[in-house]
Amino acid sequence: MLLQQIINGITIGSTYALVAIGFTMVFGVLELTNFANGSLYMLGAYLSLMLYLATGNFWVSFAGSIILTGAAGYLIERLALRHLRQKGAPKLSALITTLGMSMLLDNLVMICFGSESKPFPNKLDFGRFTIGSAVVSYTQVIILAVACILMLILSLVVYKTKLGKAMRCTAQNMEAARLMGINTNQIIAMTFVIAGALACISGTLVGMYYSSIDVSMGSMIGMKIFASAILGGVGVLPGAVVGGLCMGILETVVAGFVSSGYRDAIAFTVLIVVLLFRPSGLFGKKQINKV
Amino acid sequence: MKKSFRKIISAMAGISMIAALAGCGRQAAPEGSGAAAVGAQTQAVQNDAPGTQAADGSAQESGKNKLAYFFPLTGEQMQYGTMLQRGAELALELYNEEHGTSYTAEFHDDKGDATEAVNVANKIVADPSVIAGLGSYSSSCAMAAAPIFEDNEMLLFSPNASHTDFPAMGRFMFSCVMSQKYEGAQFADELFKVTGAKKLAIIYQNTDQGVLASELFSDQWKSLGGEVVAMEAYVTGSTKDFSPVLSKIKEAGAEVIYASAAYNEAAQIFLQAKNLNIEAQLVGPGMCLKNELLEITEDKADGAIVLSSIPYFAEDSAERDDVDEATKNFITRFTEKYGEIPDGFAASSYDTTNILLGFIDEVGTDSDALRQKLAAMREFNGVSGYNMAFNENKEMVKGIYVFEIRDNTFVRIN
Amino acid sequence: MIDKFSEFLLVHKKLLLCLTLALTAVFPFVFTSQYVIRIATIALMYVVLTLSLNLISGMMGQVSFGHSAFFGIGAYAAALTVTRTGLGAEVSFLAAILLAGVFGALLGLPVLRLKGYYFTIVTMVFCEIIRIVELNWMSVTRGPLGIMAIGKPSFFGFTLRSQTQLYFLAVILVAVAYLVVHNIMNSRIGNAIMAIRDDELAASSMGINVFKYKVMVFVIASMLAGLAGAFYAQYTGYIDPTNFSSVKSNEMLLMVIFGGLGNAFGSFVGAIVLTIIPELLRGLSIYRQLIYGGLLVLLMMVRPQGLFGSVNFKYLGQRMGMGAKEQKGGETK
Repeated sequence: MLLQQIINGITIGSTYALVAIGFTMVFGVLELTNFANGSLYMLGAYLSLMLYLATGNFWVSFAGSIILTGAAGYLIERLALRHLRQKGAPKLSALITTLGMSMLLDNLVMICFGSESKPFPNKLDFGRFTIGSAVVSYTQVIILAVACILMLILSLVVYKTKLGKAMRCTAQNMEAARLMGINTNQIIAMTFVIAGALACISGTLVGMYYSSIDVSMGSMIGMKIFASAILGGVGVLPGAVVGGLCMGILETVVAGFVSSGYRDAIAFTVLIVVLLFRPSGLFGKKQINKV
Repeated sequence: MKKSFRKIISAMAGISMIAALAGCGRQAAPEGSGAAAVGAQTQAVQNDAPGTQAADGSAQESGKNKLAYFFPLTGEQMQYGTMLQRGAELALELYNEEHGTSYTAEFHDDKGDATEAVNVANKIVADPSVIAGLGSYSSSCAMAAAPIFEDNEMLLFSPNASHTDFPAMGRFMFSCVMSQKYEGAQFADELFKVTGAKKLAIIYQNTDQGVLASELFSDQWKSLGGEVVAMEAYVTGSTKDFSPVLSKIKEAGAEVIYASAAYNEAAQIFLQAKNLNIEAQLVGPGMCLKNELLEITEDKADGAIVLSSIPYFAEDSAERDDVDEATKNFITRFTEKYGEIPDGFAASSYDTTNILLGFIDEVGTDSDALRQKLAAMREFNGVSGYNMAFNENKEMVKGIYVFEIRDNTFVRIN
Repeated sequence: MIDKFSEFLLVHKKLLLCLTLALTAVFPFVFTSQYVIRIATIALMYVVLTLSLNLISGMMGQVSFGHSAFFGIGAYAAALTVTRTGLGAEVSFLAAILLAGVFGALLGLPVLRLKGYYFTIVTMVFCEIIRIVELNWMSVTRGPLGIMAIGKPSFFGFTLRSQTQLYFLAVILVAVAYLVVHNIMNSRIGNAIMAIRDDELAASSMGINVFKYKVMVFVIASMLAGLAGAFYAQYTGYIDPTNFSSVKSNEMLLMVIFGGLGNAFGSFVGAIVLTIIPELLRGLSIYRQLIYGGLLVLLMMVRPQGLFGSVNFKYLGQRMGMGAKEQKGGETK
């Protein structure tokens, strides 16, 4: 049974990881906790469904919704956050703005679509196979694969391309990056687009996995994302993935062996304990405060 | 200035204490002025839901002709609140049509929050044109509001509060759904009969409803000679992945799995159980009797059993022979007005309103008379159930329906 | 405009204060509707919560999303004390304050060492942990069934039953909260936490024991939240875990920010306005969260420091040439 739990945990963990990557990238570049990430996740899933119902072609709808959700991410940055950055407002304002955006998005979708769970087509339903006593579905395998591939692609982009270098510069020191001729506004906007796209992919995959979506899925996952990113060390890409997988596995194992009711509480408590010993997360770099 | 400011604050505290003592003995009596000023607002909620009916002309002798409802019209429970509202609206419309009366309704939003329910209840009891209060969706809201209605001697007739302690909260508390006290046990009886299995596992939502339902179910199951191999709670609204729990239950060798959950979570449980190759009999409660569940599970939940004290309305129910006229009428008029088939919640709300209006016509608007009439109700057959009656504890008892999911639809098998 | 308004307030301070006190005292006798008194009482309770949250997040600069956890802990402590032992409110309120304080320390000690944003997220997580515990610990909290029939507050045998009496109890609690906040901000502690807010590193190099002050203030704020929780439990008579979710925390934070971070007067404004407006807009309640979200975004774009956030009454008083004796102390930027 442990094997089954771990496999389930890895699946959930991969969905967390996907969104956590986007979250941690935004954080790395802006030192901003993006509350709206969960809402984008939910928005992405709903857009996929709505486009699919309208057009009948799932993969086209999926692609379309990725673009739209990326655009939504861009809009959040462009409309609200850039303005604050230019005003030199404190970080808190940006944080609260994303909170407000998240409330706006969540409730807008709820008003438009109602609060009931909507059935979601599972286009990845290719059956199951067994490993020992554990049952694994192909959907699960695909989700893990997608998460890994995306992480690899993003790592390549961030560590091997010029764009990635620009991102890392902006994350390290925005002023200096600007002095080097990097268009930081563009970089930041790009980061948000990527975060939005990743959230959409994750949301759609999760929708397929559970064959249903509902408006609260964003807020449900929100805290887990923050926890995953922090666990792995914010701003560190592999950290987000490891953090996400850890949270997923922790949650399922606790639910299976200890208590289903307390699963989240225990997972979060572990997070706090980890932070006690490694205040910057598992892979986070110790920040040196310069005067 | 610091010092004198402090003095003023202390003086304020002193004055407050004296005033508090002076106010001692003042009863919490309903007052009309303030409530009217703040305004009892009508709810016009969904795009397609019409506003409530205007009061025109003939009011009752006592000046009361309004039924005040409170449901979760926003928030996550909105989907249920809307259905409850629609059932009530339809009932009022049809009743007024048939009897030439002009009862009106007012819908308040308690947001599914007990504190809000209390606020709303205070508003309702302060309104002199209200005959009775009806609400809510969740027992906790109804129970939070109950003391206010009781203190003001106004009837609170809930279309959905199934908590065992609700009727006992006062002389004026009634609920039009089967009390958990009896439902859980009767479900267990029926299931035991139908499946003949022994090993039961229960997955239940960690709400007042879920906790009570599962306890009573498992107690009865054990008294019938069965064995409960697992009882797992989950936090509703934030759990979508049941595979850990299901794996655990699979290990424990359950033959029957009872998912005391709302339709969306039950759908997940059914689907995920199939994904784990679990062969146990899957069972769900009345909350699952919704088309939405079928849409999510498609044909994967075939073979699951659903137990309910409220019937199911299928696409073709209006044409079937085994459905009575009143129900057919209900379904047809509802579909005409709202464009979709009613569910159990709408039916319950419909019956609640009709029962109350019927009694108001018989004995007038006096709360005491109404309460006595309700308590004496026996063998009522409504659209939400058969053999409905209130026992000596004002708890509702009814007949049970057993459905099986076949070809992605609910088929009655009892 | 806000500055002009603040100057006006300062100039007529004594008069306005007397007016406010008088209004507060006669309020329930003028507006006799139970409904209205109830709203006023709840608004006052939120003032206590807002003031205490403002202490941590506004005046000390540590944004906390976990305030409703302490609100809940206080509520459960009081509820359990009253229902299990039948002791008076003097005991239950005390139990609430103490327990909330203990948890404040339990959370604060490990977590206040973390950097700002980590701290913020952990407070959110903590709020959720507490809610889950409340939901699952059936033997103590009765989980989702909640605790019912909690008796009205009774101090040394005298039970407060009517809405009016409870209203005045709320007034007293507000007075207590304000006194606490005021005294802290006007003492060495206040200077220390403002320094911490402005620049932690500089503060610690000035010899301020940053950690000690952070914990101290966090615990005190938690205790105030616990006090509000006790009042809430005994006022409404029924509590369950859904009352203490992170959504509540967000609403409290919104009140603080709306009124102005770091400004106690602003907390009064924020709490009262944001309690009354939802009541007035009942017709729009489907859109309530939507409006809140929009309000937040708008507020941040237009006036990120909240209504009175940048108003420093002390400084304003000095500038207006009022003598040192006449300044209203304590509210700072």
